[in-house]
Amino acid sequence: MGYYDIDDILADGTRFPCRFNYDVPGLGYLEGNPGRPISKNAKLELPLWMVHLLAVVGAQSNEDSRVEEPLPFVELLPPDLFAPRVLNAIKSGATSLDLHSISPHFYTLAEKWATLFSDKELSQVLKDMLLERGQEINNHAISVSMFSNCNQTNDSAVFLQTLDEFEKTIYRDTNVNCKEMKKWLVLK
Amino acid sequence: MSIDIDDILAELDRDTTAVEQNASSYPDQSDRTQGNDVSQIRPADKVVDPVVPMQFNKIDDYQRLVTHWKNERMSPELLPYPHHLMTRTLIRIQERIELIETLSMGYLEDNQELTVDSKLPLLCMEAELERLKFLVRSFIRCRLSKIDKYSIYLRQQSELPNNAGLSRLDLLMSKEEVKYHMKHSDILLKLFNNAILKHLPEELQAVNDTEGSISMIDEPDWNKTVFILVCGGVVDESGVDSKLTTDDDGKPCYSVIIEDLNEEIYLLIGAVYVIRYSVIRDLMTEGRVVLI
Repeated sequence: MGYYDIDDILADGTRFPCRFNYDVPGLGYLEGNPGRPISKNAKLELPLWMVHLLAVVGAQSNEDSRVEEPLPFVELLPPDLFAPRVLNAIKSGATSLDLHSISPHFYTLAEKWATLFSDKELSQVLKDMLLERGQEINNHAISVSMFSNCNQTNDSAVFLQTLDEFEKTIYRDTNVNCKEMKKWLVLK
Repeated sequence: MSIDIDDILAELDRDTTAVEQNASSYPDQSDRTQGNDVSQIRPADKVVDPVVPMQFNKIDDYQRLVTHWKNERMSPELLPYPHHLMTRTLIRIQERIELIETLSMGYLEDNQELTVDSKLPLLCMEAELERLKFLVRSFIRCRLSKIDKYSIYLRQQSELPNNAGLSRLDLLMSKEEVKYHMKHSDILLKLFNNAILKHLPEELQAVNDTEGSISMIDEPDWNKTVFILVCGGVVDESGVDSKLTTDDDGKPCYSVIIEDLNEEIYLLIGAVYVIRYSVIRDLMTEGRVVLI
């Protein structure tokens, strides 16, 4: 994930629910009413690139900053993306899941989330899901026909709709490679 | 009772190959002088000669170039530039071109010798030359694309004072590549500066900021998975490979440790593995392992 990676930038724009731990004056425009202070316990949806710093950095309290870790500005609430409902759906059948409708950047977000909270369970689920879905992607990608470009079977078209952006790049790479290979073998 | 005479036979074999090697070096020599007779760049050639010892075999050099090319194509980082090898190759290409030119001029003069038979060697020479040129071009293009990708990283590495020995730009890259690297990053920087950066607050104007939420310097992905072929066959002065060990079955192999997982694995000679680049980086630079 580089600095200039477009998919990464897009993924970072996804909004996450969070709650403010402080009264902050002047930040009302995050809520949609500029000029007003933001109140404690206000619930907001903020993009990930903003949240992931705010959830780590705390306010500088002069009195007892050394005694305990400062409370961060915002607290991240568990998002719908990684609700137990979704994780159960993944565990029960990863290949039949419509990942694209959950989030087009599911893997990137999940990776960031797991890094942020060192979530072992989530990363395990992700790993299993990637393996399981990877086999399915491979199955669809290697079944290419040489002479007509657009006779994807209905099955495979439906499956492709459910891929997230990361899986789409995998699918595209595999598919192009298989196609080129076949072309070379048949036509020279 | 059988007497094992393999070592005696091997001695005899070695003698004969030595003679053959001598003999085979003659055409090489004559080839060179012939090439030099027709070439006008003899002085330049002489300058290079002391740097480049002449005992290098053409075929070996070609194999080495192919290995360098493959490694460069598959590895995530920019590998050190093979200075001597490339100098030799470029000189040979130059000589070949001139040889072909003189030969084809000879054909033009006396027409009675022009038969299909006598044309074949010329055809082969040209085809071979094209192959070699393709290899060199592809190699250099691949390096240039990596230089583009990691230009800020390379610049930062070369400015670090502590590892001046290993990552000096002129060791890592050829003269032309250093020139390209410097100029290209200057042009890119100018574009960024004029288009966007000059409108930003001063503390946000750097393009090599690592303090922010995301590091702006793209480092090579050291943990990229690569396919490798374990070829072994590198021996040091004592005639044995110091890194070679044996696995549980007694087969020769290298043992490497994946640090993140704290797992030791044996790489058998002649086998193909998919493995992290960072693990086999040292083995690859020593030529014990080839990327495929």
